[in-house]
Amino acid sequence: MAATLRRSRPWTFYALLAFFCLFVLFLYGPMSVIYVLSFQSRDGGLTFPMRGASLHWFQALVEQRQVGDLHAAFARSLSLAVLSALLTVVVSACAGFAFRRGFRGSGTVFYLAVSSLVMPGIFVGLGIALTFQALGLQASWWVSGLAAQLTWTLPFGLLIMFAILGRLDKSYEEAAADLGASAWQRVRHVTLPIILPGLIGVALFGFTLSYDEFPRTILTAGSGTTLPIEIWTMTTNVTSPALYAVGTVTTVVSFIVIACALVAIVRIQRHRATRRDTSLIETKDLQQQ
Amino acid sequence: MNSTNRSGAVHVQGVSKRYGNVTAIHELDLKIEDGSYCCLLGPSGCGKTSLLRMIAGHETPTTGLISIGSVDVTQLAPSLRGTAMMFQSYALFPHLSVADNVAFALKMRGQGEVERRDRARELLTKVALEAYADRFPSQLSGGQQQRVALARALITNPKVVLLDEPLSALDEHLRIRMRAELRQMQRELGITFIHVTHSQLEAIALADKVVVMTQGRIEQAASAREIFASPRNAHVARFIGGQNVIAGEVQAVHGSEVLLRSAGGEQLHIASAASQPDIGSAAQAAVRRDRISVERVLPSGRHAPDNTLSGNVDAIEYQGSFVKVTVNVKSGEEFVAQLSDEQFFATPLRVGERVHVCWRVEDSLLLEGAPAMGAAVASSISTTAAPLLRPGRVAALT
Repeated sequence: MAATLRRSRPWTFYALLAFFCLFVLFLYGPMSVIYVLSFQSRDGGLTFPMRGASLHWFQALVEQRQVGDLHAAFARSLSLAVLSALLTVVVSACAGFAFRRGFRGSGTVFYLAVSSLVMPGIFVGLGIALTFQALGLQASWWVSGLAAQLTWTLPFGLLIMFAILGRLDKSYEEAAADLGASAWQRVRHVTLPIILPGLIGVALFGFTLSYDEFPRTILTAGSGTTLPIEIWTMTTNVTSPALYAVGTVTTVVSFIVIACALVAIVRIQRHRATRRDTSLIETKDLQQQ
Repeated sequence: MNSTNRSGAVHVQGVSKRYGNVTAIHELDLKIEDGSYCCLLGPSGCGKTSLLRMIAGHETPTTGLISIGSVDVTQLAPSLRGTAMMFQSYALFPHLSVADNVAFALKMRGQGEVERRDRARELLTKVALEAYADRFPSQLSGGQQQRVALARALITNPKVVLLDEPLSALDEHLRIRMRAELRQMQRELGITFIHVTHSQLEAIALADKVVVMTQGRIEQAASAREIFASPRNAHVARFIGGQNVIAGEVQAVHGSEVLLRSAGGEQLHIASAASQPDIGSAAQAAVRRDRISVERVLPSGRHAPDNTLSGNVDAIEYQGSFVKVTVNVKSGEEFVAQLSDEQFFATPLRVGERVHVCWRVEDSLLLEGAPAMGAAVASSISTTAAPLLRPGRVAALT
């Protein structure tokens, strides 16, 4: 069947396929170069050809001789990302429910929330930094920095919640109400479990958007820099493949987070499809079948 | 009687529902007897689901009262009304097993696990699904899901079960089977079932009482047989099917018989049960489609039929046990005769053939509600049948 399909494909298919391959190459090629070059030996440089192969530059990262504040910056970025993810989930879930129910001025609130997506990030950061200064407050990564990042992650979270709640059939809640569930029980036993995979998705978005956020953070993080800012600084003063090793490591961290989230979602869904709940009724049908 | 509190008699008094400027339901009165199977029947948008949701408590009436047994429930929360609703999509919780779904109401009330388990098993046995207790809704077929939804609704011991198009998600065969199961379950439990449907076949097959609704009003509320055999007005007759509707003008009244001049000019003798129409007024009559004979040559003398219309055969549709013959008569509306296959195939008709359709007085019925008040009817007569009418007659009819 595949053969007959392939025979019937027009030339445009191959043209578009070639275009897509070029796109993929453009997308992942430069990144791959960085990953490859990070595995050079001690006398490797910033460009090809590759000189030797070793984990030397990763070692250098661990030893923290020539990489400045990198470890602390990594820790800060990670905690910021986790905080942003949690706050994004909580706030956008609550906001999503409010919008689902509808309230006066919801349209205006929605546009206000989402318009921060189109504002240039660097100016959002600048504005927050200036405001802090005017109020005599100390800018720090976990106050002004976090706030600046939330202006970026929350609108995304809200938009995703709209998609999730838009697919949530209202009759689930009505059925629960019909069966005597209070408002809180409806949320706790029906709505939240049903939208849980979606919430994990929101958290993942919050995490990754925050983890590599640069324009809003650079002016609001105060003296404690985050990983992207640290890497930016390194590009100007570090002239060794250690920089590339940082790139490889942060990419691995991102992939681990994404993989965890996906595994969680898949597990929840599989659990729904095949779980044998023995809490209520013993697995009697197993014997019967 | 102590049963008044357990009574599932539903009484709707003067209930209306407006959404903004749109009136979905107009001042409606309805009594549904305890332990009966009632179908709310009508086209989509007729307000039947709104009415059901107001009885369930998922919507509040704009005006009027709803009581169940002797209790006014108009302002009560859904779970305090003694009703249980089965949703069109079933709304089974996808993250809970079948048993947990069924036991949900008990869990919300804080009942112990053992008690919940026993009761859930009991209800699952009732719907013959005890072997599926640990499955998840997505692993069940449509019919099984429907039974789980029913079991979940019944666990609260409701006095009234409300079903919102419960069979519409099923395929034809399953629908007929589940329909019978629903009716049997209702009989066994002896509680009130109120079932919303747009299918007249479903309503007629199931209900003790059929409530036909259009545009937020009740057209007729009566037994299935009465709705089918004696529709009150043209809306009901058309919606239930099984009847041809003929418009005309009353020429004379003889006791329980009315002489009607059809839009095509024929003199028709129509049975008139209750109403005594004014002479000269516009009226409509219903004629049973399954009581019509189709003749090539008009019988005369002793066998002369009470009523005859003539026209050409427009369409012939084989339906298995009967054949549906559509005849293009002058009165404008589609005129259908349902002939038994035996009768039809003895001397098969052909499309285009000139025939006479005949019926007895007692197989016709004068309908309530003069069509003249509806401009639509008048215009349908003047547009479809005007060439056949003299101007004077159109004026008389409108």
